[in-house]
Amino acid sequence: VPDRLRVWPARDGDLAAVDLADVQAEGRCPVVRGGTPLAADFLRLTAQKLREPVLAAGDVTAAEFDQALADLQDPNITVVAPMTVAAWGMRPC
Amino acid sequence: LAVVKGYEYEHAWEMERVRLAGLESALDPGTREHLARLGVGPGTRCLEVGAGGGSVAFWLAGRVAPGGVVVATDLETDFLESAAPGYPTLEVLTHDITAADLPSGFDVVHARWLVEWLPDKRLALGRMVSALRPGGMLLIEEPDFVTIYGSGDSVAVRRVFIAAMRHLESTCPIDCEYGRRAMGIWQRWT
Repeated sequence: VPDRLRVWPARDGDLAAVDLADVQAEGRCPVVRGGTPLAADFLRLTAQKLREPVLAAGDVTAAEFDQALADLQDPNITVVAPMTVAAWGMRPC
Repeated sequence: LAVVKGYEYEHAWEMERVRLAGLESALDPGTREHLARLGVGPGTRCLEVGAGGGSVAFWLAGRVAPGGVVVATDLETDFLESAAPGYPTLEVLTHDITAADLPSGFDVVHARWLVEWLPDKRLALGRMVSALRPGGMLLIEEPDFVTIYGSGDSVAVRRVFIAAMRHLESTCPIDCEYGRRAMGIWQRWT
């Protein structure tokens, strides 16, 4: 799994639709263990807040949901976090 | 304060500051690299849109001193206000980017994990560009959950996040793969 991905601007993205010059971008994807702040605090709490409606939607069971929350606190589990794409450009002079 | 439809993470939730801190711990080093490379330093005028917990705004407030200014906006400003008195270069502004234009004339405008939630993403990006002086730089950092769908050790984590993203995308205007969509690179993986 790459820990760092690069992307290039395309013509139909939102950043091409606004008045910006020289748009560039770079994606970074943290790969962390369970129990780290990103996994145990951010990802676990992000999911936990949605527990009721997600279970009501029926795609996953309560047991699976609670296993995921436990895995995010388990240092033996590797978690591939969401990628963050940074994109920047200049307002034309 | 559900001005942004479907945004579940109100500050009144007792775990919200801890949740945000978990994200800040992972993202702040990269954000600082990007902002430093774009030239933020003493005297720079910065606008931080959707400043959230404030870790980036507080770092910027130190970095632009002396002579610079940081305006930090959010719908909920309590996290920002709690630390703002320690940063003389920091100004906190309650502002809804879906409803009103931003103040203008900034050298650098930054937003992180914000545009993904907004109903009219191009309108918000246009407002951020309008907040720049000519020659100023916009930096947005947006998530793309594609990497959590297919990798990692835990099948449960993958399945729960796919279900959670489906739930959010069916109930609010979020785009959980906006990182690539902003640039126009978008191939659905699920």
